[in-house]
Amino acid sequence: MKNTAEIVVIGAGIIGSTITYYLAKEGLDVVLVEQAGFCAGSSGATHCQIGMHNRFPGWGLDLSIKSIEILKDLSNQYDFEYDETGSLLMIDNPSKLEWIEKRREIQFSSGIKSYYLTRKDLDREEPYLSQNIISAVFYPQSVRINSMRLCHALISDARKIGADINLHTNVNDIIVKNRKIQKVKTSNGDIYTHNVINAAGAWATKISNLVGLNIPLNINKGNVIITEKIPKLGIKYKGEIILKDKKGNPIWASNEISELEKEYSVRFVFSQTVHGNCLIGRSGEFSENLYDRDTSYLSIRAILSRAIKFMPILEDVKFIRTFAGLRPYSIDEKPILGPSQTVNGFIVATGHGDKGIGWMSSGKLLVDHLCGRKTFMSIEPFLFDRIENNI
Amino acid sequence: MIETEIAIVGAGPAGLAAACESAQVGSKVIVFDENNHPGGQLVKQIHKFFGSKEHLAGVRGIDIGKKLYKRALSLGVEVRLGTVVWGYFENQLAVVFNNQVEVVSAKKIIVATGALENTLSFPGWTLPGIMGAGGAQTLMNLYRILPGKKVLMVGAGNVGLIIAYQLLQAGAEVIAVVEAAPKIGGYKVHADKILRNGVPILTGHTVKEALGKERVEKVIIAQVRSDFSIIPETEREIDADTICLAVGLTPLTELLWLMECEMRYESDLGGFIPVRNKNMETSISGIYIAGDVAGIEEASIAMEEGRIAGIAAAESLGHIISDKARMIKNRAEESLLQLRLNPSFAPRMTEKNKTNNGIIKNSQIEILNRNGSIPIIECNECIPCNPCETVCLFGCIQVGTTITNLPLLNLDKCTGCGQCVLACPGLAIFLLDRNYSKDEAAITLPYEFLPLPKKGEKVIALDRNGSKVCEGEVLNVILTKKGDRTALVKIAIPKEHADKVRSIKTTRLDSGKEGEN
Amino acid sequence: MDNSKNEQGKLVCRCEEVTEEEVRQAIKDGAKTLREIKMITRAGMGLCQGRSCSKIISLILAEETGISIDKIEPAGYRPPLRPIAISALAKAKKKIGKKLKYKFSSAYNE
Repeated sequence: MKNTAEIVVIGAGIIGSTITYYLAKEGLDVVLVEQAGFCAGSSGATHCQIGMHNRFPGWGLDLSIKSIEILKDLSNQYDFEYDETGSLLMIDNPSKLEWIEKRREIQFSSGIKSYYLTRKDLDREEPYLSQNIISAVFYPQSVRINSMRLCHALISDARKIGADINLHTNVNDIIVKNRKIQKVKTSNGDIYTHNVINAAGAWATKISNLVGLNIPLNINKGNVIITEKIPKLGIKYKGEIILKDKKGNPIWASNEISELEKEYSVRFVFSQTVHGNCLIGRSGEFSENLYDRDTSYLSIRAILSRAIKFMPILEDVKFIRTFAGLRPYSIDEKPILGPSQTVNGFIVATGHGDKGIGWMSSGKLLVDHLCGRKTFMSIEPFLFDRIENNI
Repeated sequence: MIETEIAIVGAGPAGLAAACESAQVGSKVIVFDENNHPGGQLVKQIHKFFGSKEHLAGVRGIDIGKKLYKRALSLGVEVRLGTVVWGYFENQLAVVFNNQVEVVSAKKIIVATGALENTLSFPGWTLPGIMGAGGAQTLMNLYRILPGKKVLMVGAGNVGLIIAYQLLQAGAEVIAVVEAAPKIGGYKVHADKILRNGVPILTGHTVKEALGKERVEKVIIAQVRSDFSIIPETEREIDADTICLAVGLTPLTELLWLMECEMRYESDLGGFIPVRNKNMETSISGIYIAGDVAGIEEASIAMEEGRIAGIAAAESLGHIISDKARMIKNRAEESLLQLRLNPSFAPRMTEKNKTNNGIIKNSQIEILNRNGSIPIIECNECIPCNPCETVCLFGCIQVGTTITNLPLLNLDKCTGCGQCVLACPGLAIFLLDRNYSKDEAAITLPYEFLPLPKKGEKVIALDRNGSKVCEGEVLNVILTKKGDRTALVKIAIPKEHADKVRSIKTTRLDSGKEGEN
Repeated sequence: MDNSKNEQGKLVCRCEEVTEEEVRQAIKDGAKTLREIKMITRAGMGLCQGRSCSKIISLILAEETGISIDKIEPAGYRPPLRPIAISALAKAKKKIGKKLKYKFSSAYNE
C-alpha cells in the first residue's frame, strides 16, 4: 500500500469504484481503501437495475439518464452483462389507469418513452403474469447490469492506470490538524493525504465521525431472493406500481396486500439476469444495526407471498439464495456530494439510498466538479453544505 | 412453530446416539433429517464394522443404523425424516417438510450434519459416469442400481477400498484402484479383500484425463512423484465406463457458519470445523456438534461424540446431575481414545512366532500339523478391532483391553468351528486343514458374493493378489443366520498350494482376468 | 475420441461451467478471496452453491497467492441451505407463536 496520495477514496462499492476510475483517468494520484472485498456492501446486494418507470423530470432523471449513457459506453469495453431489458409496470386496478396516464404524459415530456400493453398483448407477450393484471406499461429505456462485474472492471482499469487499490483494509482513523486532513490511518499502515472522499455507503456516518462530523443517514435494509436458472419469463424487469397519497406516503397498488407485506413495505420487483436466474424483491425495514446483513425470515416470506400474486408460475420455481443490503438514504433522499466546509479536504459521496446503480453518474459529476471541469448537470442540489449546516 | 428442548440436525450415528443419550434422561428431543431414511451414512454400509462390542463391532453398518433408530424411537425421540433444515433466524431453526416451512424453537441444538465428498477436477471430469464413491455406494446399496460395469476407483483410503469391494459384490468389474500417495491409506484388511479378488492397487498413480462422448469410455492414468505432479511418459490408457472418486471428505458445516460459530481449519480433520470444548459445545452457548461435522473420523467415533453432546445438552437442561453426566462422558472419552489410536503395523514378525502370515502363539507351533482345520489370522495391522476375541466360545483368541492389539491364537481348545472366520469384519481369518487328504489341503474362506458356489463345483483358486494358482473343488458351503450373510466356503486344493490360496474366482468375473495381475 | 468439455479447458465449477483458466485469471486480476473469485467468475453461484468447487478453488488460490489454506474462508453462507420451492414460503401460514399440530409418521419403512 502506498503511504502518500493526492486523494484517498474510502469504499469500493459502485460509487467509490466509479470515483476512483475517473480520478485515475484524470491522472490523479489516488488510493482506494475498502474494508471488505469490492462491491461488498449495498452495491453487491442489489437488483442492479436502472428503471425509467419511476423517474420524473428533475435531478433524479438527469442522473439516471447520464448513468445509462455512461454504462452503455463502458459496455463496449467491459462485459458487465449490460442488458437493455426495458421495464414493465404492471397494473391490476382500473382505478389507477387515469393516474398512470398522467404520469406517462409528464414522463414523456422529458423524453421517457413508454407503451401500453393491453390484456390481449399480455396474453401474447407475458403469458406468465397473473390474470388479475389488467394492463401494463413498458418503458424500453430501462437497463440491467451486473454491479459486481462493473465494480471489478472499474477497479481493475483504475489499477492499470495507476490507482493503488487496497481491499480488506480498514480505515481506523483520519487525522485532522487545524481543520485540515493530514493522514488516514488504516489497518495496513498510514496514508499521508490532504483529501479524502467518503464513499462508504451505509458506513459513511461512521467514517464521518472520524473527522468529527456526523452525516445522518437512514439505513433501510432490503432482502432479495435469487432463484435457480429458468427459461426467460417475458420482459426481464418487471414491477408493480405504488401510489402515493398527498403526504407522500405509499398506498399499496393491490387490494390484496397482506399484513405481513405491509409490515415489510413490500413492493413486487422481478428481474432476470442474462444467465437465467431471477431476482425477486423488494422489502424494506429500517435498521439500527449496521452489521445486520442477515436475511430476515419474515421479510422473504412477505416478498414471496406478494410475488406469486403477480406471477403464479414462480410457485414451483426454487430459490437458491437470499441476501440483504443496507440502503443509505440521506435525510432528504438526495445523494450527498461535495466537500465539507468545516473539515478541509473531507469530501462526501454517499446517501444514494436504493439508487446507487441508477445514480452512479454522480461519481463522475463529483470528479468533474472537483477537477474544475464542466459538469453534465448542476451539482448544487447535492452539495454537502445543505446537510453540514444543520449538523 | 415446533417447540422442543433439544433439536438435533441429522439422524446419522452421531445424531441418533445424541438423541438416545439425552432422551434416556428425560429430555424432549426432535431429530431432523433431510433424507427419507434414518441412519445417515450407515444405511449404505453393508460391511461389518470394526471396533469393540460396545460399538457393535462385527455388525453390519445397516443393522447398526436400524438398532440406533429403533432405540431412539423407543426412548420417545421424535424423528422427522424428509425434513430439511434450511436456515437459522434469530436463534430458531427453519425447516421445510413436504413443501411446508416451520420454525423450530429449541433450548439446545446439536448439529450432526456429517460430511461432503470432495471432488477431483481433471480434464473430462464432468462426463457422465464420474461420481463420488459415496454416490456410487448410494446408487448400489440404497437404490439397487449398478453404477457402471468397468469401474476405476480413485483413492485407496478406507472409503475407496470398501466401496471397491462393494462394487465387486454388486457385479461390477473394478479395473484398479489408483492412489496418488506412495502408500495405501486404508486398512490393510480392506486392501487384501480386493487384492485377492484381482483388483490391483496402484499407488503413486493418479487420473490424468477421462475421455468419452456421451459418457466415460477411457481413462488415462499416470504415475506421480511425491509432490503429486505427473511423471511424463508414464501415461496408460484403460477402458472404463465409470470413475469413482474417493478423495476425501469435508465436514458439512454450512449451518454452523450460518449460526456464526467460531471456526478453525484442521487439515487432518477435513477442513474448517467449529471450535468446541470437551462437551462438544461450540463457541455459541447451547449449540453442540457431533460426528463428521466435528472432524472426519468414523461411525464409532461419531456415536461417542453424539453421546457426549447429548448428555452435555441434557445436563445443561438439568435432566441429569453433573456427577452422573461426568461418568458417562468419561466412558465416552475413554472409548474415543481407544478408537483414535492410529493404526500401525505390527512389530516385525520373526520366524519363531510367525507362520504363513498367520499369528500363532510361540508355544503352539508344533500343533500346526494336527488334523482338522486351524485358523490362520492374516491380521497384522494394529487397528481397533476385537470381534474375533468376543465371538470365540472357547476363548482361543486374545486381543485384550487395548483393542488395537494383534490377536493371539491359542489352539488348545480350538474346534475349528469357523465362527472367527465369520466374525472378522476384515475377512482376514481362514481355516486351513493341511492334511485333508493324501494330496489335498482344505481351506475355508469367508465368502460374500452371490451366487454362492455349489458343493462339488470346480473353481479357480487365487492367491493374495488375485492370480490363479490352481484349480479347486468346493467341498461345502455353509450359510447360517449367525454368519449374517457371510458364507463359509470350503475348497480342496493341491497340498502344495495351501499357503498361497486365499480366494476363488467369483462366477461373476467372466472378463478373462485369469492369471492377470 | 471426442471430449468436448476439454475444449473449454478444465472445468472447476460445473454448475456455472467456469474453467480453471478463468479462476486463475481472476486471481491475477486481484481476487484474493473465494467471494471475489465468485463475483468475477460466477464459480459457486450455481445450484450447489459451491459445494463441489470451493475446495478446488481454495487450493488454486493458495497455490497462486501463497495464502495459506487455513486462511481461505468460504465465500459466505446464506439461507436457504438447500433449494426450496417458492410456494413453501409464499404460502406459509403466519401462525407464529401458535403450536401447529404435526401429523407425521416416524415409522421405518423397509
